[in-house]
Amino acid sequence: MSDAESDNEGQGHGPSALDEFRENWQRELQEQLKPGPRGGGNGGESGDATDAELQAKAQSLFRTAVLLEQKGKVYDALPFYRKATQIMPDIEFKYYELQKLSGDQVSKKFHSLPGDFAKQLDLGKSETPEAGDELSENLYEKFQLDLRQDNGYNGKMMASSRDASVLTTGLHFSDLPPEIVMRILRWVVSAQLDMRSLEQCAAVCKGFYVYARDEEIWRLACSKVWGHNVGTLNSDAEDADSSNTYYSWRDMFIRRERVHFNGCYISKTTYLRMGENSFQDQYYRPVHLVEYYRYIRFLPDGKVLMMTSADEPAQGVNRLKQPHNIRPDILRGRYRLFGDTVTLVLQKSQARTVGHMRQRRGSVMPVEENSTEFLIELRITNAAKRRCAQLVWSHYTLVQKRNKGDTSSDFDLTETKYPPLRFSTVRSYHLDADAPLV
Amino acid sequence: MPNIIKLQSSDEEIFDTDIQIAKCSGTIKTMLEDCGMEDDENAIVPLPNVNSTILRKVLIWAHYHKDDPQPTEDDESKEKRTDDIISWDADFLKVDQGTLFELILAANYLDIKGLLELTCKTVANMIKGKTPEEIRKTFNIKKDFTPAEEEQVRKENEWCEEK
Repeated sequence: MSDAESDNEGQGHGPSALDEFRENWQRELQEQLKPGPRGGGNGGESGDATDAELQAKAQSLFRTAVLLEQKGKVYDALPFYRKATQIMPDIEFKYYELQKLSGDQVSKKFHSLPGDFAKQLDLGKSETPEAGDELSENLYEKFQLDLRQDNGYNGKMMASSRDASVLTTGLHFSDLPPEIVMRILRWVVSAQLDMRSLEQCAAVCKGFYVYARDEEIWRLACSKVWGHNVGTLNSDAEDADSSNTYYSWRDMFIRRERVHFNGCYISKTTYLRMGENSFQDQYYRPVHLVEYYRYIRFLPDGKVLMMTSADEPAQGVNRLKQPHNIRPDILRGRYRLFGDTVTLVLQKSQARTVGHMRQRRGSVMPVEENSTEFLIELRITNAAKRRCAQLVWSHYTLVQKRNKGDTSSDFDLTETKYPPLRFSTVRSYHLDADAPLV
Repeated sequence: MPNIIKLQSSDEEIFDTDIQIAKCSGTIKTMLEDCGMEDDENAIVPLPNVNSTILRKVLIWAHYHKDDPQPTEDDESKEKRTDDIISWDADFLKVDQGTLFELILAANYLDIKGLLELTCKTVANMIKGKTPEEIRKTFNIKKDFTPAEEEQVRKENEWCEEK
């Protein structure tokens, strides 16, 4: 409030000059607001509006804007907000006070958080269609309301568990401004898309819940998972069936078919191989039990690693731990999600040259003159207890390029040789944040 | 052109600082350039939001990182950054939680991107992989859910529970 006033007062030098200025200024504004062509002169004839009238006018404009914004029409709401604040720079506070007195429902969604953050949240909210309100109880709104109404929070987002009677000088987490907390949460999620840690945050307290349900974070996460195919929340006309409709970005992230990043998809193949008969003893017929594992690890930036190895999972997963520093026998490549199918294009890793490094993200890895490419298609299915935790082979082709000629051969995907890959979480993959979610 | 400028902390301590180091801070850089203070030997830059303890710490960081290359957006540097709380930074951030938060606020106010990212990342790593109760304990946060609310949040988050 004081900011707004000092802006207006900047022109005046003494109290009398100030009063005069303010009067003229309000008169001018009043004039501009009159519909139709302006009457006669520019002088002060055009009505001596009282403060009360102005306030009523500003309030009705502001109310219209709020209603529009609630309906999700943010851009339509903006001119109304602007007009309202032109009449009364502090209309937002006046309106808020008024609503608080009358206990109106409208105020519930708004002004619950200080400053810009309230707007940010509201905008995020308005992207969400009404379906979100159908939940039996919308915790997001309830917590916002609680945080605003309970005096114990002193305008902060979370309460300290420290003994209030003991004097402490150190800052508390709640002293950090909202934009900093959001920045921290982006680091928590990080480029690894560790949404589990974000969900853990939501269960800490009401304030953290409100931060962690921020739609922008979830939208960013979705766009990392599905890239160009991420689509929008409102399903398009062509695929209007309910399975493709998501009422929030978080909802999309949870329900839409995708691959998990916080671990590895593993399958175990076992077969018997007959050994050579012994030269001396005709009755000795050795049989070898061959066991090997196939590991696939997906990374959120569209890269994928695949390895077949005799190592048990406990050791095997460690070899895929550092995607930038892997052994040459590991295949690397890219993947894409199409509905419930994930397509992989893999190559043998080679010593990477500078040329390769310069490749921009999203482009296909360059193919050498003589090279072997593995094209794999897997179907994402649900495991007994976990969504999208199983990958079933649906296609596997080997393409060999030699002297500009391609030979491709399909593998016979028998269940015994290519059993489904099952997901298992690997904690060490997500220990530390690598880069913030952007 | 003088190489030294004077920075004044909120508790009115003066720090004689190399101008190149001071310019790590976007805020100070803008102040110097907009106010034409660069040529004034006796100019004092007031920093009312940072106390001397924190400012000293920030300047140590800025001095150590003064030769850092500007962050670029291409893949190459991103991949290299993976393990970038190098031991110096780790030692630098061996501070209590209150100081860490003050450093965050100072980095934010002074607009020092590198320090802000480093400190935010440090806090994030204190959160990652912890249970809600552990997070509450780490940051002295009071649980303000009712049992029913806690149960509903748990249900909402069930999808990512480890089996």
